[in-house]
Formats: sequence, C-alpha cells, structure tokens
Amino acid sequence: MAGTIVSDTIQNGAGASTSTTNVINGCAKAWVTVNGTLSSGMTLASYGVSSVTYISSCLYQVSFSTAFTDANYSSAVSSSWDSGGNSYPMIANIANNGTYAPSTTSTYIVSRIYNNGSTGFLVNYLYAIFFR
Amino acid sequence: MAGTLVIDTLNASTGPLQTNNGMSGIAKAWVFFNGSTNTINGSFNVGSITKNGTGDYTVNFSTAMPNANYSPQLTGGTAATTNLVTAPFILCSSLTSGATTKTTSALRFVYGAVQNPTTLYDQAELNVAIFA
Repeated sequence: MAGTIVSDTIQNGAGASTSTTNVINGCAKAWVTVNGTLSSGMTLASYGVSSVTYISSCLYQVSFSTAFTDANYSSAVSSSWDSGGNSYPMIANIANNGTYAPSTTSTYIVSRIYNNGSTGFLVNYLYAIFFR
Repeated sequence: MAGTLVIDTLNASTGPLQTNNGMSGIAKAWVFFNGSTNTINGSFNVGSITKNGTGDYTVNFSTAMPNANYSPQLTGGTAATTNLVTAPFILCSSLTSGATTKTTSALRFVYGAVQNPTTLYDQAELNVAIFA
C-alpha cells in the first residue's frame, strides 16, 4: 500500500518539529563517493547519480539520474588526504571552463595538486553532494 | 488541507527512516552564487550575500541558525588562473581582530590561493551549505 501524506510540518514524539518545506529544500538531491584512482567502477556509493566518468587530468563527469530543473544547484566537494595531502578538490568553473560547465544533467569535479591548478592529482576518495 | 504530522519513524519498503534525520540531517541553508557579480543563482534560506571586498563574502541567512555551532561546507570553482589552486576558507577570528565571522545570522568567508590565502580573488562559482 502506498499513498501521499500532506502536511506542512513534521514533528517527532519529543516535540521537535520542522516545516516540510525545509525537508524538501534542505535534502540533498544527489550525492556520490568516488574512488578517483579507478578507471571503471569508481562509484562506490551514490544517490541520484547514474554514473561517474573519468575525462582527463583528474577531471570527472558526474551524471545525474534525474535531471535538475536548472543548473543553479549548489555543489559541495571534498576529498581524502592522500600521498602527503597535496590535492585539492574543486568544481569546474562556469566562466573559465565552458566545456565543463555544470548542466541540468551533469557536472564536473576536479582534483588538482595544491600549488598548480593545471596539474591533476589522483585521490582515493572524492565526495560530492548537490542541493536544489 | 494541511497540518502537523507527528511521527517518530517512517517506514519505507527498505526499512525505517527516523524522522529526526529529516530535522538534523538536512541542509538548513544553501546557496550557489557568483562572487564576481555578487549574484545569487540558487539558494535556500539565504536572504542576501554581502561582498565585503575582493574575495570576501558574507552569507546572510533568512532565518537564523539555532546557534553558531553549525557546520558550513564551502566549495569553489576552478581558478581564473590555471596555475593557481584557490579555495574558500572560513575566516579565523584571529585574522579579523577578534571579530566573530560565524554567527547565527551570517557566515563570512574568503576565497584565496591555497599557497597564500592572504591574497584573495573573486570567484564566479561559489557554493555554501549549512548543517545545524
């Protein structure tokens, strides 16, 4: 049996409550854990992500299972501390990386060596989360 | 018709879901904005962004956080200059003459070079998510 619950507020037995709008808007719409060192099977766990594809120089395309309504979603990325901790994760910049700009169906995350933005740095774990 | 739903657990086909997860595990605010033009592209519970200077921003919440012990997640796009790795950092109070940069109503952060964070840059793609 299934159905639809309509409520403006959700509350637990202790009396703590929040607006259902907060739950809808504050929930991550997609997230993924990636092993950046693998050429295939790099998606270790995910929600709302259909695939992760290695492009080049530690640049990865994250494709969403369900497209966003627009490309104005908020992204957060982080990574593991590998081989001396010389890496830094970022997302592709709209203005400077038009080819790799975020779209409704996918976005791009990169891992670069900390002192050279053009040099990729492989890491064991990349994490990304998306809100809209 | 709507109202308040009081429930401790929601049962999905895969198992129970604690309703507390919907209160503690959701982002209380998020924003995706252009730090160069100070334009908000998408947001939730963010009223405005104050640009304090180049690479220096304050995120103003529409509804205040319950306390200042929230967890901010900051992510930036790739740098305008590919030879630089740049990133967002929460301002340490010791760098701002003891001023509190993380309050219930706002979060101030800067975007600078990882190698030399005292040099700040504007960034077209900045993302912030808040958990409280």
